[in-house]
Amino acid sequence: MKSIGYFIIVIGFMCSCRREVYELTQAKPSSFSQIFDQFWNKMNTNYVYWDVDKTDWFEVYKTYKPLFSHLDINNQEDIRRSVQYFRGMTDKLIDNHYFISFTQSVIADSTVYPAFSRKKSSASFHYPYSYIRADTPYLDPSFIINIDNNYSVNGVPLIALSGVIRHDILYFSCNHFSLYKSYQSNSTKSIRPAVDNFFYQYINSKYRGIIIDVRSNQGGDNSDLNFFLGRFINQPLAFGYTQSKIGNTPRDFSSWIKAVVNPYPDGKRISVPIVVLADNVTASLAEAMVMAIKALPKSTFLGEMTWGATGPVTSEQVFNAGSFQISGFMNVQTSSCKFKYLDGIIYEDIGFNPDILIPSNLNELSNGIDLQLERAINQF
Amino acid sequence: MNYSCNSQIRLLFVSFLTFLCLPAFCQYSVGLSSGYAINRSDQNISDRSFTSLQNGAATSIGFFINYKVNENVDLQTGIEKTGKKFTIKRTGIYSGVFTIFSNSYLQIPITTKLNIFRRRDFFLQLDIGIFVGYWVKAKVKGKIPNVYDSMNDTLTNNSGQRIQNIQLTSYSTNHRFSKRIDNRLEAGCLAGATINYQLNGDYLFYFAFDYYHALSSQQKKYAGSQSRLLPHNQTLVGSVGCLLLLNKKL
Repeated sequence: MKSIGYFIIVIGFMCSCRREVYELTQAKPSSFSQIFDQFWNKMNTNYVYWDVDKTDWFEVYKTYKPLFSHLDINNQEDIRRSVQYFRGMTDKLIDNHYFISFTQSVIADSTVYPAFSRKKSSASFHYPYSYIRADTPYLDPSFIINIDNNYSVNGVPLIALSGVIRHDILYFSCNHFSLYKSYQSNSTKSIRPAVDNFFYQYINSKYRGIIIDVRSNQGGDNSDLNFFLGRFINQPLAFGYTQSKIGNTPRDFSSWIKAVVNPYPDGKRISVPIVVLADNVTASLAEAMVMAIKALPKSTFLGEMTWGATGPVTSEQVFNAGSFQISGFMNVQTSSCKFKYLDGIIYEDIGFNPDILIPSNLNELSNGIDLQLERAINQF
Repeated sequence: MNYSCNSQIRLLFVSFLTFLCLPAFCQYSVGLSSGYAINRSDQNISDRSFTSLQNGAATSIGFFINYKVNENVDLQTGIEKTGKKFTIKRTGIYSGVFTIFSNSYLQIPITTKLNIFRRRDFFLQLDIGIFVGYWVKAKVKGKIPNVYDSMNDTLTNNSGQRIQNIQLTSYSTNHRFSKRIDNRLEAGCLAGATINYQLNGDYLFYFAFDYYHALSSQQKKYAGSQSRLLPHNQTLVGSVGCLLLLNKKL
């Protein structure tokens, strides 16, 4: 009987060992200490570059926790000061998609964009440029340009331009990637004519080469990879690998899985040389497009090194990683996965190097001379 | 609770050595066991949407030394290799996505077995004890959405919108241990019961059912903010075994 008694005591002890469960709340924080804790923890679990990023996030905690604890959430000066602290915490993060916007009214016009802050001081930096005016004179008169205001980014509508150069070089450009959505929409202003024109020529005409122009294209919808590039292949095209978070610690990653472009139903294998034009503002899906085109045979990348935002961004729900919100205070955009190219290199914060480096010359462009496009034409 | 793993391990090793030095006039027996371990990872995933935790099953094998103190009490120790698995499964629209964590531990339990019932050659024991383990290996496999492997087909949602169909890709990888994050030493207490059958003067067969409750977590408190329940293993092991009664003076 004594034995059973001791046994019951032990079982009771084990059952009573309750660990205190802290509520992992995403409720609106009521102090800067709570804002800091939620932000730090979310970054700790959601950021996908901790195994390659040199930022010591634990040191960041030690440095900034006391600073935030002295801020008063009801003091406007302190609220503005917090933006500087967030900038300091994140200024060396390598994720070039990383972007903080604030929903708190006092600082609603503030942003934190570490990659832009780093790059804008570079001598070769330029803002996104619209090449349409300089490029249309190079095209034969039958070119088609479509502008779809239903798919605007930062107030700039989706523009697709397709045509032929010197009767035997196909040309296509778009300023961001919402091609599939626009194409499928019922809008009379969709980019469908430009896309149909281009692919009609691709399938039915004889030509020496193709130029795809994604300069100053800052990405968009992943669907466009299959929708656009899938027309040039008749079997899946691998162009790299992605790696995702699978747990809550900074080192819980899946293995690398293949990134592929799948052929579109009427995809025709490309057999002619293809040149892709990109500049140092080409980012995100546009960079993926450049890398995927480079995986095609007889391909050349001409222009400038790209932005270096190669990790795809999707909703936090998909991987329980990446972008997140702090209720009532801020939205944080960050990559949902890491990406590495076929050569095994992660080009995040580095940028993809062109085969032929031709820097953008905005002076010449303003005079209607597109040196990059001219060099691309001379490739054929 | 704050546990010092190093002091627990020292205590257990001293106990183990003491065990080996016990007077030799009592009976020793040695044996092997093989069993099935069902593990639950006690952790907080409330911040992860469309996510559930599921228990996992794995095998357990062990080598034991049993020391009969008197008619009613045995002391047992040994070394066992136990798998402690669990699965994180996505639900709802993310059904099909899952991650299986397969962790392998080498454990040293030290168990007091109290005889509480005997009938002929069968006797029932209650097991109470402690254990220490070392996280030897971890493998992770599962299926995950591949953002760069999708089909632009004519799937539509309830609003009639065409949607993208992201494919799921399988993966399998070995977990790379981090000194900063992973706590490879595990310690805890155990309790259970064993049904024994004495075949003859030499052999004894048994079926044991033991619950291992880890008091240490799989992760170190590496993060400054204590806003998470660190994962702890809770493992139920059912095993069958055989003991060879040495019945000799050592």
